[in-house]
Amino acid sequence: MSLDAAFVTYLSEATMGPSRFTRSPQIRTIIVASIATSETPLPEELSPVREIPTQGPVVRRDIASSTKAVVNQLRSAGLLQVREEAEVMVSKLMADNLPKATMSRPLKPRTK
Amino acid sequence: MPIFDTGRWPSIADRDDLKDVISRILDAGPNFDASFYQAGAFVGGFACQGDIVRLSSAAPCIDASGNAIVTDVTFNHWMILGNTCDMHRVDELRSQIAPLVGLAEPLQDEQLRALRRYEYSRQFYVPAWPDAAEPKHHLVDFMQIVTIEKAAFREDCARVVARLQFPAWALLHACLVRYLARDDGRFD
Repeated sequence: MSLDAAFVTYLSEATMGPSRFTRSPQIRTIIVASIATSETPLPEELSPVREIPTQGPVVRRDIASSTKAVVNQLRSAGLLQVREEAEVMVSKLMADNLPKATMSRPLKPRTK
Repeated sequence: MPIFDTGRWPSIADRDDLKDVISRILDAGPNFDASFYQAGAFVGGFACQGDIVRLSSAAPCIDASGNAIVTDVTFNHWMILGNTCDMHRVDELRSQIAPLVGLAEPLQDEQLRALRRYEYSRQFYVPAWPDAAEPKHHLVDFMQIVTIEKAAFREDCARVVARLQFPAWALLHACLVRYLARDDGRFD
């Protein structure tokens, strides 16, 4: 494989997120590909779907869309949908049960 | 002595498969606790994602001044969140763990039902594990993830005390992905 590209494959849980993303200056393009499962032999199922430039200063919309697709998979399966009432209940449980710190100790002063 | 199954788990092929596997836990009803952990004792081998380890340690943190601090709050149990494949790699020296926060008894039935639906994003509920010295419900706090040296996962330090069954691991994995990948609204 040339240094100009790297294959990123899904190690899938039926999810769509790239398993790894690198910003190495030698790698200018990531080809995002998908395989049916992590057990599937690569060559026959590998099908690049798009290329993503790695030189942008911020996370790009298309990458954000890929990660959002993970949550969409769960949502469309009707699984693990976050409810505000549940968030509030768990936040209260955490507040009631998380031990409160009475002191903190610096590990090492920050050097400026 | 029975030991944990450390063989490779089967793949989850698609959305319906994922739903089927996770539903084995979500819909387990009175068998929820029994469906969560593997039976047996950990007697060697490498630690895996989802394992609960006994480790008395505080969670280090960077405070408001940018200084690394540690408080006097000590957690006794942690869950391994780092990938199992990284636990196996010799070129990766560290992994990630998150503390377990014990919940005071008794929980109301409605609270317990809600915890076992996993409709919240920043914590992960785990029931008491077999042979726990102090059987309690716990929440794994994704907001306090800590880096740990893998060499600590040994019998006299961060000792594995419980290992998830496959459906419980799939549930953890989905909740982790949901926590990390949930929409932050930047591109709305």
